[in-house]
Amino acid sequence: MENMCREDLMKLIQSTNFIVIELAMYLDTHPECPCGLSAYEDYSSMLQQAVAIYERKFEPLTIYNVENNGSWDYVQSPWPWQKGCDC
Amino acid sequence: METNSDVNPFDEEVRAEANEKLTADSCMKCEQQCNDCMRPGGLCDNRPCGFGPNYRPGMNPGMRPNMRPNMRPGFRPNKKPVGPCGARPCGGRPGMRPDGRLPEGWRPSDGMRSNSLGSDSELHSEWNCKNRMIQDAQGRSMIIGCEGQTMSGCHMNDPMDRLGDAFPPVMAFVPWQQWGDLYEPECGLKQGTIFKDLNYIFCGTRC
Repeated sequence: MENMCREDLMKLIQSTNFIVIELAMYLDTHPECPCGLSAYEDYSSMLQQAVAIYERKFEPLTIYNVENNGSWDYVQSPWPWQKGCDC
Repeated sequence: METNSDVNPFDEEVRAEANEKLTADSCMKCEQQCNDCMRPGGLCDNRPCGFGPNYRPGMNPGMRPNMRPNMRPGFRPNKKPVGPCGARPCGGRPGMRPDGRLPEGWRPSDGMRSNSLGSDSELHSEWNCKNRMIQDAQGRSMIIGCEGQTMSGCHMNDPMDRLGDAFPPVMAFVPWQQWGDLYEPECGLKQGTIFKDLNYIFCGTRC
């Protein structure tokens, strides 16, 4: 994951984020399913790891993780319509 | 609760065909990947995955604890014709059988043909039903009667209201989801769901 390029890492974050949301909805109605809980734990951990790597190597993904280095880094990164991601 | 068997749009045959088509058309690559990371789906705490604490031995998928033994989960209908897109009833209208006949318990009013529901212009609120008995899972029952009265009142010009009793409300029973195979993340995002069991071919039409 550390060696992934920007585009691949962004795709991984998007798809893993989708899985986490799907599993969360499943667990809303199956809160005691061990398989669902295990899968959620795995993918949630993977997502957090991917987000941490992306934000450390490239730019913040949300406004909650912007490091104050004397400028507002969040607005410096390309927006989706500037081909900031493959979407 | 009496459940309308026509609510469930897929039977096992159609579902198998849909899964087979999905596998063949779009997901052959990730199918192998998913199989590689398949998680154990066996018994968990002496009950199958997806069943809650009310699970009783012998309970079938989709069966609720208060169901009568002779009730089939999902109330799957008998085999019906499969539409050209592989699912049924393709293009069908709610409340109407694929062959155009009225739902059971419904009768056309005088002068109406029972198989003439082919277009919107032939649908109106003159459909009346006889008194019917509805029954819930505990065996409680009541007699309900209805007559079309939708052409009068403040909604008489509402296009949906003009359809009247041809579209009776139903109480849907959604079978309990069981844990199954998952798609790989990229494939799941593409398909719109990570659960292979939920990946149906959408064949609905707009009203």
